[in-house]
Amino acid sequence: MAAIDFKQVLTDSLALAKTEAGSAFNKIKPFAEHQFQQFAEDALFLANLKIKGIIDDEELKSRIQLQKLALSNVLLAIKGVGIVTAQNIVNGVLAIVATAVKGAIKVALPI
Amino acid sequence: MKNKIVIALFFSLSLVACFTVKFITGYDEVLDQTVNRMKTDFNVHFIKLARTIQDNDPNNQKFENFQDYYDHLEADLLTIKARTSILDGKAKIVKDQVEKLDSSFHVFIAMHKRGIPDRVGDDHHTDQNAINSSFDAVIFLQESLKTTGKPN
Repeated sequence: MAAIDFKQVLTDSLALAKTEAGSAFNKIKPFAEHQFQQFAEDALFLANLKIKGIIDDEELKSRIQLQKLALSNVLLAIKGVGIVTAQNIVNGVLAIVATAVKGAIKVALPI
Repeated sequence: MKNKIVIALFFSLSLVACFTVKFITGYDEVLDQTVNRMKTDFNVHFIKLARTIQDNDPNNQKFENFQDYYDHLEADLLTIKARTSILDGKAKIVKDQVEKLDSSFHVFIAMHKRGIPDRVGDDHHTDQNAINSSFDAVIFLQESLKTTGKPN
């Protein structure tokens, strides 16, 4: 029975994890930066309207509520993409292991 | 002894490798397409509304003048909420996102119903940004789920 090259499995798995995580980070970073910066600018703009007496408390409350809902949605998206990334890494590693098993003992695993 | 270890290892790996894991689902083509169209519709609506709050006519921005858009919006919100209601339990994040988008619109609608006055220096772009961010968040996750986020 041929042996599995565990060192190679580990190397391939780490390379896959690095690529997947890097790709996810490159997607999330510009999205998050843009959204967080916009949130900060818009919150400041609304605070200025209130200070200048242009809007009252009720209007400020509604418009900040819109900002909070938007930011929550952005954070949910980031969380979701993070979970998709973890899922891709786990499935990628499973595929690497299956390939190694098949190569070593000619058994195809049902992945 | 060595053979036993190899066999045990093989079965362990087989058990681990016997399935594809699914931590998150929630991609839905109708949801994806509807939300993208809703974003365009909203921005067309907002451009028209913004024009009315930057002139000297205090009546042209009234809610009633935009009833047609809001009727279509309510129908679209019903559609996307119905789509997410049939998604499985691993689609909770997508369901929560659609709930937040729905809540955002209800805050916006209530604000418009109360009245948006003509005002120099406040074109309500922060509200437009907020709604667009909610749309973008849903679209961003749908894009990521498109290849791997469908239920098994």
